Amino acid sequence: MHLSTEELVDVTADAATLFLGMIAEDTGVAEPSGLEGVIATIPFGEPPVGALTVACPPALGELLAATVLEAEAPDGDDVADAVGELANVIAGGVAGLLGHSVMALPTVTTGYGLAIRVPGAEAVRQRQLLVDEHPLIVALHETPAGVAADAIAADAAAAEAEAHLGSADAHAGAAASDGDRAR
Amino acid sequence: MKFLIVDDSKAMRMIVQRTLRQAGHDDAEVVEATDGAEALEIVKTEQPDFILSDWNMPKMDGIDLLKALRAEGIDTGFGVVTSESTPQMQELAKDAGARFVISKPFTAYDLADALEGVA
Repeated sequence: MHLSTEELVDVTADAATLFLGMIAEDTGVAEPSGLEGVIATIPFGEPPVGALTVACPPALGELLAATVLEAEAPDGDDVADAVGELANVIAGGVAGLLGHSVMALPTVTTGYGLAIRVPGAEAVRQRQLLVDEHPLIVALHETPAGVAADAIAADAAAAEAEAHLGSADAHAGAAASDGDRAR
Repeated sequence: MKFLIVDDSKAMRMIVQRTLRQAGHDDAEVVEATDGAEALEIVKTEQPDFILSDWNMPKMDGIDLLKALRAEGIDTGFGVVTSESTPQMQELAKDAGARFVISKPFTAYDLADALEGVA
């Protein structure tokens, strides 16, 4: 299994639409800003092989919470809940595409200049989307074991596809032979 | 018709409720629970017609809630609304008696389609 940048962007944009009814626009890889942010992280895999992280400025977190809760002034718990659930939805989609499951609840942190690091794992994908003029950053970290498992699964899928293709070619060849015979 | 929405996220409970109305259940009565254990108690007092439950929750998850309901002889219709739905999870849920499993993010069409004929 392998997750492309486009798939990560699509899963994130679909989740943003569910929460806000707004289109999220891909703007590329995010640069460190040092600004205040709300960060939700959720591990996936059993045992864990990676983590999905979502980060946004408090203003977007408040917009998320206000929109889904239909509240004018959501509090910190509401913001953490909304951003955490957004991460949960994105993590579920990403984990599903990678052939893993999510068996954990999100952890949400708020602070300044937070860097996203997952010990033992490396960042394999990171993207920034723009939602209502606010940046929404999504990052995928995977452990070497997770990356290796994905590569093995991708190889197996490719081999299976090749086998099917070979089989289809054989059928096509047989059909062509039959056609030749019919003629 | 009375629905019980079970999810540990307040935001997601609101999203499910909003989507339920968009799916044509405008006049639905909705009660909520924050985990499976709470839902198990609320089912007995509120007697909902259908349960829409998350999978991953603290205290008691969705599949254990479904099994507990059936073990107590409560056969209320049950649909799983989860952020993931691997084939294994789909099979586990169906074997336990779930009518459907739909993945987040979902649309009003997805929910209406899933509820067609069961609620």
